[in-house]
Amino acid sequence: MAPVVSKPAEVALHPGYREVVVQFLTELADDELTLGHRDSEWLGLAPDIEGDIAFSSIAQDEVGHAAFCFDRIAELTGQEADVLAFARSAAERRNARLLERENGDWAETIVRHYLYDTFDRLRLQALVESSYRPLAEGAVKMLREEYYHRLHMQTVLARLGRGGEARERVERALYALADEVGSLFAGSLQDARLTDLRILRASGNDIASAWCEQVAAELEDWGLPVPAGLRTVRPAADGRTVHGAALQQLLSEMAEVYHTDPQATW
Amino acid sequence: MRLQEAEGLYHPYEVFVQYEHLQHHQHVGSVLAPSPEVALLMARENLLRRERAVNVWVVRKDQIHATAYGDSDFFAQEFDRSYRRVDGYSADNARKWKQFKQRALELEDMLGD
Repeated sequence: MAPVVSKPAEVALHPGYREVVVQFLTELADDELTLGHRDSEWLGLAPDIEGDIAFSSIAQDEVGHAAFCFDRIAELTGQEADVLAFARSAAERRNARLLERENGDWAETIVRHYLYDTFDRLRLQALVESSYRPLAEGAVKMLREEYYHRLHMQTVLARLGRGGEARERVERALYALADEVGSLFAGSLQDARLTDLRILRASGNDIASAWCEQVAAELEDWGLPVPAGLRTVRPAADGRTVHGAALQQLLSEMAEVYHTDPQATW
Repeated sequence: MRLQEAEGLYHPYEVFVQYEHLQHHQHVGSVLAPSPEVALLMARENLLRRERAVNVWVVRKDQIHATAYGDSDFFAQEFDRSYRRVDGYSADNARKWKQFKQRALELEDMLGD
Protein backbone atom coordinates (compact mmCIF):
# COMPACT_ATOMS: atom_id res chain seq x y z
CA MET A 1 0.00 0.00 0.00
CA ALA A 2 2.57 2.57 1.09
CA PRO A 3 4.81 3.34 -1.89
CA VAL A 4 8.56 3.03 -1.98
CA VAL A 5 10.07 5.21 -4.69
CA SER A 6 13.67 4.30 -5.42
CA LYS A 7 14.15 6.39 -8.57
CA PRO A 8 12.78 9.76 -9.72
CA ALA A 9 11.03 8.19 -12.71
CA GLU A 10 8.95 5.97 -10.41
CA VAL A 11 6.98 8.90 -8.98
CA ALA A 12 4.73 8.68 -12.02
CA LEU A 13 3.37 5.38 -10.64
CA HIS A 14 1.89 7.05 -7.57
CA PRO A 15 -0.79 9.72 -8.12
CA GLY A 16 -0.08 12.94 -6.27
CA TYR A 17 3.34 11.81 -5.06
CA ARG A 18 5.39 14.10 -7.27
CA GLU A 19 3.51 17.23 -6.22
CA VAL A 20 3.89 16.47 -2.49
CA VAL A 21 7.58 15.54 -2.63
CA VAL A 22 8.48 18.54 -4.82
CA GLN A 23 6.65 20.90 -2.46
CA PHE A 24 8.51 19.45 0.52
CA LEU A 25 11.91 19.46 -1.23
CA THR A 26 11.32 23.12 -2.09
CA GLU A 27 10.85 23.94 1.59
CA LEU A 28 14.01 22.02 2.53
CA ALA A 29 16.06 23.69 -0.20
CA ASP A 30 14.74 27.19 0.48
CA ASP A 31 15.33 26.85 4.24
CA GLU A 32 18.95 25.82 3.73
CA LEU A 33 19.70 28.36 1.00
CA THR A 34 18.14 31.25 2.93
CA LEU A 35 19.92 30.47 6.19
CA GLY A 36 23.16 29.64 4.35
CA HIS A 37 23.06 33.05 2.69
CA ARG A 38 22.37 34.85 5.97
CA ASP A 39 25.28 32.94 7.54
CA SER A 40 27.58 34.02 4.73
CA GLU A 41 26.78 37.68 5.51
CA TRP A 42 28.92 37.32 8.66
CA LEU A 43 32.04 36.86 6.52
CA GLY A 44 34.64 39.26 7.85
CA LEU A 45 32.33 40.48 10.63
CA ALA A 46 32.12 37.66 13.21
CA PRO A 47 33.56 38.44 16.67
CA ASP A 48 36.79 36.50 16.14
CA ILE A 49 38.66 35.18 13.13
CA GLU A 50 38.22 31.50 14.03
CA GLY A 51 34.48 31.94 14.51
CA ASP A 52 34.33 33.87 11.26
CA ILE A 53 35.86 31.03 9.25
CA ALA A 54 33.79 28.46 11.10
CA PHE A 55 30.59 30.31 10.25
CA SER A 56 31.54 30.56 6.59
CA SER A 57 32.24 26.84 6.58
CA ILE A 58 28.80 26.16 8.03
CA ALA A 59 27.28 28.53 5.46
CA GLN A 60 28.88 26.48 2.69
CA ASP A 61 27.52 23.26 4.20
CA GLU A 62 23.99 24.70 4.29
CA VAL A 63 24.22 25.88 0.69
CA GLY A 64 25.51 22.40 -0.19
CA HIS A 65 22.40 20.86 1.37
CA ALA A 66 20.24 23.30 -0.61
CA ALA A 67 22.06 22.31 -3.82
CA PHE A 68 21.38 18.64 -3.09
CA CYS A 69 17.65 19.35 -2.68
CA PHE A 70 17.47 21.56 -5.80
CA ASP A 71 19.11 18.73 -7.78
CA ARG A 72 16.46 16.29 -6.52
CA ILE A 73 13.72 18.74 -7.62
CA ALA A 74 15.40 19.12 -11.00
CA GLU A 75 15.30 15.33 -11.46
CA LEU A 76 11.56 15.34 -10.83
CA THR A 77 10.50 18.40 -12.80
CA GLY A 78 13.14 18.93 -15.48
CA GLN A 79 13.86 22.44 -14.17
CA GLU A 80 17.41 23.67 -13.64
CA ALA A 81 18.83 23.86 -10.12
CA ASP A 82 20.36 27.32 -10.73
CA VAL A 83 17.05 28.67 -12.01
CA LEU A 84 15.30 27.29 -8.92
CA ALA A 85 17.88 28.80 -6.62
CA PHE A 86 18.27 32.23 -8.19
CA ALA A 87 15.41 33.05 -10.56
CA ARG A 88 12.31 32.46 -8.42
CA SER A 89 10.55 35.50 -6.97
CA ALA A 90 9.98 36.04 -3.26
CA ALA A 91 6.34 34.96 -3.70
CA GLU A 92 7.49 31.55 -4.97
CA ARG A 93 9.88 30.91 -2.06
CA ARG A 94 8.90 28.41 0.63
CA ASN A 95 11.52 29.05 3.32
CA ALA A 96 10.29 29.63 6.87
CA ARG A 97 9.93 33.34 7.56
CA LEU A 98 12.17 32.93 10.62
CA LEU A 99 15.16 32.28 8.36
CA GLU A 100 14.88 35.32 6.09
CA ARG A 101 15.03 37.81 9.00
CA GLU A 102 18.07 39.99 8.97
CA ASN A 103 20.82 38.60 11.14
CA GLY A 104 20.54 41.09 13.98
CA ASP A 105 23.42 40.82 16.43
CA TRP A 106 25.70 37.81 16.94
CA ALA A 107 23.55 36.49 19.80
CA GLU A 108 20.40 36.55 17.66
CA THR A 109 22.25 34.81 14.82
CA ILE A 110 23.40 32.04 17.15
CA VAL A 111 19.97 31.67 18.80
CA ARG A 112 18.21 31.43 15.43
CA HIS A 113 20.74 28.91 14.14
CA TYR A 114 20.39 26.80 17.26
CA LEU A 115 16.57 26.84 17.00
CA TYR A 116 16.72 25.95 13.32
CA ASP A 117 19.40 23.25 13.65
CA THR A 118 17.39 21.55 16.37
CA PHE A 119 14.31 21.63 14.11
CA ASP A 120 16.28 20.52 11.06
CA ARG A 121 17.73 17.54 12.89
CA LEU A 122 14.26 16.29 13.88
CA ARG A 123 13.00 16.80 10.33
CA LEU A 124 16.00 14.92 8.87
CA GLN A 125 15.63 12.08 11.38
CA ALA A 126 12.04 11.65 10.14
CA LEU A 127 13.44 11.41 6.59
CA VAL A 128 15.98 8.64 7.12
CA GLU A 129 13.23 6.05 6.45
CA SER A 130 11.50 8.14 3.79
CA SER A 131 9.62 6.32 1.03
CA TYR A 132 11.45 8.66 -1.36
CA ARG A 133 14.78 6.86 -1.30
CA PRO A 134 16.90 9.55 -3.04
CA LEU A 135 15.89 11.95 -0.25
CA ALA A 136 16.39 9.34 2.50
CA GLU A 137 19.97 8.76 1.35
CA GLY A 138 20.67 12.50 1.36
CA ALA A 139 19.10 12.88 4.81
CA VAL A 140 21.63 10.44 6.30
CA LYS A 141 24.51 12.54 4.96
CA MET A 142 22.95 15.86 5.95
CA LEU A 143 22.33 14.57 9.48
CA ARG A 144 26.02 13.82 9.87
CA GLU A 145 26.96 17.41 9.00
CA GLU A 146 24.15 18.91 11.06
CA TYR A 147 25.55 17.10 14.09
CA TYR A 148 28.50 19.44 14.42
CA HIS A 149 26.56 22.49 13.31
CA ARG A 150 24.25 21.95 16.26
CA LEU A 151 27.17 21.17 18.56
CA HIS A 152 28.76 24.44 17.47
CA MET A 153 25.59 26.45 18.21
CA GLN A 154 25.00 24.66 21.53
CA THR A 155 28.56 25.35 22.67
CA VAL A 156 28.52 29.01 21.67
CA LEU A 157 25.00 29.63 22.97
CA ALA A 158 25.74 28.05 26.36
CA ARG A 159 28.79 30.31 26.69
CA LEU A 160 26.97 33.48 25.62
CA GLY A 161 24.25 32.64 28.15
CA ARG A 162 26.64 32.72 31.10
CA GLY A 163 26.15 36.36 31.92
CA GLY A 164 26.83 40.00 31.24
CA GLU A 165 25.91 41.80 28.06
CA ALA A 166 26.05 38.58 26.03
CA ARG A 167 23.36 36.98 28.16
CA GLU A 168 21.13 40.06 27.90
CA ARG A 169 21.42 39.89 24.14
CA VAL A 170 20.65 36.15 24.10
CA GLU A 171 17.52 36.71 26.20
CA ARG A 172 16.37 39.53 23.95
CA ALA A 173 16.89 37.29 20.90
CA LEU A 174 14.97 34.38 22.45
CA TYR A 175 11.91 36.58 23.03
CA ALA A 176 12.17 38.26 19.62
CA LEU A 177 12.44 34.95 17.74
CA ALA A 178 9.76 33.15 19.78
CA ASP A 179 7.13 35.05 17.74
CA GLU A 180 8.54 33.73 14.45
CA VAL A 181 9.30 30.05 15.14
CA GLY A 182 5.75 29.01 14.14
CA SER A 183 6.83 29.58 10.53
CA LEU A 184 9.14 26.53 10.68
CA PHE A 185 6.16 24.22 11.11
CA ALA A 186 4.07 25.74 8.28
CA GLY A 187 3.55 24.33 4.80
CA SER A 188 4.14 20.63 4.10
CA LEU A 189 4.43 19.76 7.78
CA GLN A 190 0.69 20.60 7.99
CA ASP A 191 -0.09 18.44 4.94
CA ALA A 192 -1.28 14.94 5.93
CA ARG A 193 -0.34 13.59 2.49
CA LEU A 194 3.33 13.96 3.44
CA THR A 195 3.01 11.29 6.14
CA ASP A 196 0.31 9.29 4.29
CA LEU A 197 2.79 8.80 1.43
CA ARG A 198 5.50 8.10 4.03
CA ILE A 199 7.75 10.77 2.60
CA LEU A 200 8.14 12.03 6.16
CA ARG A 201 7.82 9.46 8.95
CA ALA A 202 6.67 11.82 11.71
CA SER A 203 3.81 14.31 11.64
CA GLY A 204 4.42 18.03 11.85
CA ASN A 205 2.79 18.04 15.27
CA ASP A 206 5.07 15.28 16.56
CA ILE A 207 8.11 17.18 15.30
CA ALA A 208 6.82 20.39 16.88
CA SER A 209 6.28 18.83 20.31
CA ALA A 210 9.65 17.03 20.24
CA TRP A 211 11.27 20.34 19.26
CA CYS A 212 9.60 22.29 22.09
CA GLU A 213 10.58 19.65 24.62
CA GLN A 214 14.20 19.60 23.54
CA VAL A 215 14.62 23.36 23.22
CA ALA A 216 13.05 23.98 26.64
CA ALA A 217 15.20 21.31 28.31
CA GLU A 218 18.44 22.63 26.79
CA LEU A 219 17.71 26.30 27.50
CA GLU A 220 16.92 25.36 31.10
CA ASP A 221 20.19 23.42 31.32
CA TRP A 222 22.02 26.59 30.32
CA GLY A 223 20.03 28.62 32.85
CA LEU A 224 18.26 30.59 30.11
CA PRO A 225 14.61 31.66 30.11
CA VAL A 226 12.13 29.73 27.95
CA PRO A 227 9.60 32.13 26.35
CA ALA A 228 6.03 30.75 26.11
CA GLY A 229 6.29 30.72 22.31
CA LEU A 230 9.14 28.19 22.50
CA ARG A 231 7.46 26.00 25.15
CA THR A 232 4.42 25.45 22.92
CA VAL A 233 4.68 26.39 19.29
CA ARG A 234 1.69 27.27 17.14
CA PRO A 235 2.35 26.66 13.42
CA ALA A 236 1.91 29.90 11.48
CA ALA A 237 -0.46 29.11 8.60
CA ASP A 238 1.26 31.58 6.25
CA GLY A 239 4.77 31.07 7.67
CA ARG A 240 6.23 29.78 4.39
CA THR A 241 4.04 31.59 1.84
CA VAL A 242 3.94 35.19 3.03
CA HIS A 243 7.36 36.81 3.09
CA GLY A 244 8.63 40.16 4.27
CA ALA A 245 10.86 42.84 2.81
CA ALA A 246 13.85 41.00 4.32
CA LEU A 247 13.52 38.17 1.79
CA GLN A 248 13.25 40.63 -1.08
CA GLN A 249 16.48 42.28 0.07
CA LEU A 250 18.18 38.89 0.50
CA LEU A 251 17.16 37.67 -2.98
CA SER A 252 18.22 40.79 -4.81
CA GLU A 253 21.64 40.60 -3.17
CA MET A 254 22.07 36.83 -3.53
CA ALA A 255 20.99 36.74 -7.18
CA GLU A 256 22.61 40.03 -8.24
CA VAL A 257 25.40 38.34 -10.21
CA TYR A 258 23.07 35.69 -11.64
CA HIS A 259 20.74 38.39 -13.03
CA THR A 260 23.57 40.19 -14.85
CA ASP A 261 23.45 37.30 -17.33
CA PRO A 262 21.09 34.40 -16.55
CA GLN A 263 22.30 32.50 -19.66
CA ALA A 264 25.97 32.51 -18.61
CA THR A 265 27.69 29.20 -17.99
CA TRP A 266 29.56 29.15 -14.70
CA MET B 1 40.04 47.47 28.61
CA ARG B 2 38.01 45.39 26.19
CA LEU B 3 41.10 43.96 24.58
CA GLN B 4 42.62 43.03 27.93
CA GLU B 5 39.44 41.20 28.86
CA ALA B 6 39.52 39.33 25.59
CA GLU B 7 43.18 38.46 26.04
CA GLY B 8 42.37 36.98 29.42
CA LEU B 9 39.53 34.93 27.98
CA TYR B 10 41.13 33.59 24.84
CA HIS B 11 44.09 31.24 24.80
CA PRO B 12 46.10 29.87 21.92
CA TYR B 13 45.67 26.13 21.42
CA GLU B 14 48.00 24.06 19.25
CA VAL B 15 46.13 21.68 16.98
CA PHE B 16 47.22 18.12 16.18
CA VAL B 17 45.32 16.12 13.57
CA GLN B 18 45.35 12.37 13.05
CA TYR B 19 44.33 11.83 9.44
CA GLU B 20 44.18 8.03 9.56
CA HIS B 21 44.08 5.50 12.36
CA LEU B 22 47.53 4.12 11.53
CA GLN B 23 49.16 7.57 11.51
CA HIS B 24 50.31 9.59 14.48
CA HIS B 25 48.92 13.06 15.21
CA GLN B 26 50.53 15.88 13.25
CA HIS B 27 50.82 19.49 14.26
CA VAL B 28 48.84 21.53 11.72
CA GLY B 29 48.49 24.98 13.28
CA SER B 30 46.86 26.83 16.14
CA VAL B 31 43.57 28.50 17.04
CA LEU B 32 42.55 31.08 19.62
CA ALA B 33 39.66 29.92 21.76
CA PRO B 34 38.09 30.54 25.17
CA SER B 35 37.84 26.85 26.14
CA PRO B 36 39.07 23.41 25.02
CA GLU B 37 35.57 22.59 23.70
CA VAL B 38 35.47 25.70 21.54
CA ALA B 39 39.08 25.07 20.46
CA LEU B 40 38.07 21.61 19.19
CA LEU B 41 35.14 23.07 17.23
CA MET B 42 37.32 25.82 15.78
CA ALA B 43 40.05 23.34 14.87
CA ARG B 44 37.50 21.21 13.05
CA GLU B 45 36.02 24.16 11.14
CA ASN B 46 39.24 26.06 10.49
CA LEU B 47 41.75 23.33 9.78
CA LEU B 48 39.62 20.39 8.58
CA ARG B 49 37.24 22.00 6.13
CA ARG B 50 38.33 19.83 3.25
CA GLU B 51 40.46 16.94 4.50
CA ARG B 52 39.08 13.94 6.33
CA ALA B 53 40.46 12.96 9.73
CA VAL B 54 39.78 10.47 12.52
CA ASN B 55 40.94 12.44 15.57
CA VAL B 56 41.99 15.91 16.73
CA TRP B 57 43.96 17.01 19.79
CA VAL B 58 44.07 20.57 21.06
CA VAL B 59 46.69 21.51 23.61
CA ARG B 60 46.81 24.84 25.37
CA LYS B 61 50.03 26.45 24.28
CA ASP B 62 51.07 27.30 27.86
CA GLN B 63 50.82 23.59 28.72
CA ILE B 64 53.59 22.71 26.29
CA HIS B 65 57.06 22.35 27.84
CA ALA B 66 59.83 23.35 25.48
CA THR B 67 63.57 23.91 25.30
CA ALA B 68 64.93 27.43 24.97
CA TYR B 69 66.27 28.55 21.59
CA GLY B 70 69.30 30.07 23.40
CA ASP B 71 70.17 26.69 24.90
CA SER B 72 71.87 25.33 21.80
CA ASP B 73 74.19 23.09 23.85
CA PHE B 74 71.12 21.00 24.59
CA PHE B 75 71.49 19.67 21.06
CA ALA B 76 75.31 19.52 21.00
CA GLN B 77 76.93 16.96 18.65
CA GLU B 78 80.62 17.77 18.36
CA PHE B 79 82.44 14.61 17.28
CA ASP B 80 82.17 12.27 14.36
CA ARG B 81 79.02 10.17 14.80
CA SER B 82 78.99 8.50 11.43
CA TYR B 83 79.47 5.14 13.19
CA ARG B 84 75.99 5.60 14.70
CA ARG B 85 74.36 6.06 11.37
CA VAL B 86 72.93 3.48 9.06
CA ASP B 87 74.26 5.06 5.85
CA GLY B 88 76.53 2.01 5.43
CA TYR B 89 73.54 -0.12 4.58
CA SER B 90 73.52 1.03 0.98
CA ALA B 91 71.96 -0.59 -2.04
CA ASP B 92 75.35 -2.20 -2.61
CA ASN B 93 74.84 -4.28 0.53
CA ALA B 94 72.63 -6.90 -1.06
CA ARG B 95 75.21 -7.57 -3.77
CA LYS B 96 78.03 -7.88 -1.22
CA TRP B 97 76.03 -10.28 0.97
CA LYS B 98 75.28 -12.44 -2.01
CA GLN B 99 78.96 -12.56 -2.91
CA PHE B 100 79.93 -13.39 0.68
CA LYS B 101 77.38 -16.19 0.98
CA GLN B 102 78.43 -17.60 -2.36
CA ARG B 103 82.05 -17.75 -1.19
CA ALA B 104 81.10 -19.35 2.13
CA LEU B 105 79.17 -22.00 0.25
CA GLU B 106 82.14 -22.77 -1.99
CA LEU B 107 84.43 -23.11 1.07
CA GLU B 108 81.97 -25.52 2.69
CA ASP B 109 81.90 -27.64 -0.47
CA MET B 110 85.68 -27.77 -0.57
CA LEU B 111 85.96 -28.76 3.09
CA GLY B 112 83.20 -31.37 2.68
CA ASP B 113 85.08 -33.15 -0.13
